[in-house]
Amino acid sequence: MSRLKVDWCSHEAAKFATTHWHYSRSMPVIKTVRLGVWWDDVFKGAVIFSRPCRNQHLMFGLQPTEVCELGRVALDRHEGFHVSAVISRSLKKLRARCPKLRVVVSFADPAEGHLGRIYQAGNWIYTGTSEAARILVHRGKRIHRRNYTGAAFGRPRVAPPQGSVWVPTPGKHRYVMPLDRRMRKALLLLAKPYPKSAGALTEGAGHQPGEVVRSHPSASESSS
Amino acid sequence: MSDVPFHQIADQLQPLAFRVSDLTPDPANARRHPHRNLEAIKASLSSYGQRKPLVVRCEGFVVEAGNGTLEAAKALGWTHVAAVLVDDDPITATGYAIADNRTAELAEWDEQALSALLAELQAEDLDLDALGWSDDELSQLLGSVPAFAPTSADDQHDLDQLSPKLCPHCGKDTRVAPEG
Repeated sequence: MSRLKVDWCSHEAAKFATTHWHYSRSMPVIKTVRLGVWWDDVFKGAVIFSRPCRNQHLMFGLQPTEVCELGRVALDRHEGFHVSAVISRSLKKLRARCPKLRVVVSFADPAEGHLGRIYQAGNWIYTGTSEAARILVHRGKRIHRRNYTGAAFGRPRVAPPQGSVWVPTPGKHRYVMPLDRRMRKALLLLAKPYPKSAGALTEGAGHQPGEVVRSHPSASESSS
Repeated sequence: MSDVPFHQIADQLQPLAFRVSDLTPDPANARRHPHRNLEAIKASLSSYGQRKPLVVRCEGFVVEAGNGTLEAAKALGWTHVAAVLVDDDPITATGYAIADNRTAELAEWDEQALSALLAELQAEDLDLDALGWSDDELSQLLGSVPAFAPTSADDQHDLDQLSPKLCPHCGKDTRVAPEG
């Protein structure tokens, strides 16, 4: 019997995993499908799928119900299993639970030092970077846009903290996993070579052709 | 002072006991005591009793330091708390009230030492709930992970279906039907 188990988990378990083992320290606020990871029956973390934040389905010519996002891979320190194996099993369960889904999208944030190696190991298709943006940094810490707009939670809009500065960031690396053969064929037309270094120069989709965006200098390589 | 027993107050503080009804919370207190803070103070008072006195101005018996303790004691139904009286003018009283809170706030935890101490207390079956951390925080400090068990697939959302969006006026589902 396998020592690794990937199975459905509760919101509480997923929340525990994200608050303890994911850099965002938060759960997606929208609908989720949550897979827990156990090694020798000890809880090791969670993989969380959710509705994409933006209209990701449009770039694939699909309906909103055909695309979801792999939003969190929150794992404790572990030995004996590979993250790509966890994601692979999670995708199988997801496909069985939500058979109408056709594409899973995920992002690796170079500003956090992430390159997306777990997706590369899982043979996901790399489609370039999302639109470049700018983030607020206060006392060296990144502040999420929602923290001061409050927009997503129906809170009143508040001013960003005094002394915070805007820092341009490159777009996030976008990886996609087709869930059927036709989709794979279609998505391969969008495929680009895998990025090799999180600190490498990346081309932001929202910039002028040829304009190059450098990753945040504080970025350091780490796995999610 | 009353002659009722003050079993919840440390022996040497008992001569300083005042009726809680005689004390006035500082109306200008800049320090708030949200629910979680009060629950933590209540848990501490219940477990350990009162071990240090409040600081109260002679004039008006207004509490300078220990407003949270007074509120928690009232919530616990205590009739008395120990307090020392000081003859401060309003400016000194305000200055001390702020300094008392701020100096405590500037202290930091040595998390490694704290974690070791908590583990020792846990091994001795001491109730860690009275220390002011939530279960999740304690798990993190102690490096332990709750024994989460797998759940049913029914607990998950349907990501391949849109939820009905009902019009508040006519009650009809306003979702746009997928093409094709």
